[in-house]
Amino acid sequence: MPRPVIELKDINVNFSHAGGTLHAVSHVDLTIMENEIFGIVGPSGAGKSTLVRVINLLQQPTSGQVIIDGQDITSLRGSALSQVRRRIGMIFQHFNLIGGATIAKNVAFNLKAAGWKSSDIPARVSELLELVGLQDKSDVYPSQLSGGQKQRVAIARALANNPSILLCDEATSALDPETAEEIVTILQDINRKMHLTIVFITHQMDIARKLFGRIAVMEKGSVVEVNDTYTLFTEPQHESAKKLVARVMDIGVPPELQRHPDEILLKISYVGERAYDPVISTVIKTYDVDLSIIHGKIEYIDNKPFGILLVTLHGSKEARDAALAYLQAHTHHVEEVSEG
Amino acid sequence: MGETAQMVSIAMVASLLLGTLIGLILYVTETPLLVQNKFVNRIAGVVVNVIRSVPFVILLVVLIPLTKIITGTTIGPIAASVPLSFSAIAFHARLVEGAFTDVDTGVLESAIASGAPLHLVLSDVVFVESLPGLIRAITVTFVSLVGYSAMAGIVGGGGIGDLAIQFGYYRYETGVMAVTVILLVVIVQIAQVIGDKVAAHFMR
Repeated sequence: MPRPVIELKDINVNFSHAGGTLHAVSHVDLTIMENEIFGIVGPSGAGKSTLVRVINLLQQPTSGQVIIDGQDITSLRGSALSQVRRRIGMIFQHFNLIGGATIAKNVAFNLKAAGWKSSDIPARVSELLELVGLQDKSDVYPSQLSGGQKQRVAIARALANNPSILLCDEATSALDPETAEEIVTILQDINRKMHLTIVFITHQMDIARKLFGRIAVMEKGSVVEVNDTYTLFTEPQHESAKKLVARVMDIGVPPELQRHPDEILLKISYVGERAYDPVISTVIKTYDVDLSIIHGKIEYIDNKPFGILLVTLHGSKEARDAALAYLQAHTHHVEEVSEG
Repeated sequence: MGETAQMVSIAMVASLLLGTLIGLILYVTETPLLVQNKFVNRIAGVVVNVIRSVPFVILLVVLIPLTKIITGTTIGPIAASVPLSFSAIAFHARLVEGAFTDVDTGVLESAIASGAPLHLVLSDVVFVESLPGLIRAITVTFVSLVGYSAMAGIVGGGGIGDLAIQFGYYRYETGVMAVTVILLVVIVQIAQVIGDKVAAHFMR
């Protein structure tokens, strides 16, 4: 029975400045379950980074409660708070390694933070660096590493004390696509092997599509939609969610496309196993229509397929309507694309 | 020369110890990430600002009673080191605070997120990351001190400044003044070069 690991209850974060009050985070309620990879997405300024920092109290909420593993940590300070923080690892967009210390010293820092005996530290550091494939670089300085390597060191460091939660603040946003993929793979690996709950902030919807099990969409400080990844991408409800997934899910309609009379343009989407049904050929055989495929693609969301086809349907109004009805009954969604 | 060395070294030690301490206090009490304490921060800030805004020669005069109490005299290098130290401590405190503040906030966040106690964050992160800046700060304070010690010389503090004034100014012996100026320039250059080299070594 999965249990909640992180509960955020009515979190508000307000910053007062010269012009007034900025409501960076507004009445946010979120529950993150054990072992899941939970994503928080949204445009810049939506409050995602502020919210993720509330989880380990790097950012003190103006009001609301933060509950980790059933314990209300909101008013903890000093060593009590430090102890809780050792159970939560965190990695950042710009890696945030100690520039004046070697890789080994960077990883060792988290062990020192937890009070490890200096004699036990080197062995554990080697273990952690091996986990991320950097064992031969332990005496190198961060400035000598690539972005991907730095992030791997950051991961090794964050995992030093066997945390049950890993917070990722735009962890792939400063990396090129291939390196970002590597990091995504590492995270999926450790999520599986170490039963790590991961909370990941990003504006990169492609990462969201591949990595997250559930997603919360934020806009102007509020959470506007929460759903499992597949549903969010295929059936977004809120305008913000629709805008975000549109980039990944959309098929652009070429503006030069000629429209003939008796012809309509349809966007058809298929869900799951239906992605492979021969609906198109059945339509052509059964109804007196011509159906041409302009563009098509299959996206994999959270490892489940989702297909989109852009087609023109040509024929008399009765035939088209009948064909349309069939399509609507046998696919996820059919949308007529209007002019312009 | 010896008198200058005396004045400057006393003031340097004072600024390194107390200046660094005050700079650290200013830094630690500033940000909510550490131990934000607006009260302490404001007091320390005001004290430092007041000392720094008073022109040095006036500070020399204003501190005469205190100098008398601490050293028993108002003339000579030992006496001059009192106002010099005050000035250097305040000066160095701001430089040190600046070096600490320049440490990347993200790196600080990462250190705090790991649950490290404050002293470990300060020693292993703040100090390590600000080391080049701290070394440069020491160089700047030293160079300023040499200059200020010359000023102290004018009002009876002794040292190179005194030499320059007594022989160079009052007796119009330009030769002596020229030599002292050259000496001062050389000392400062050497200090700057050493400081830069050491700071560069720590910039990985």
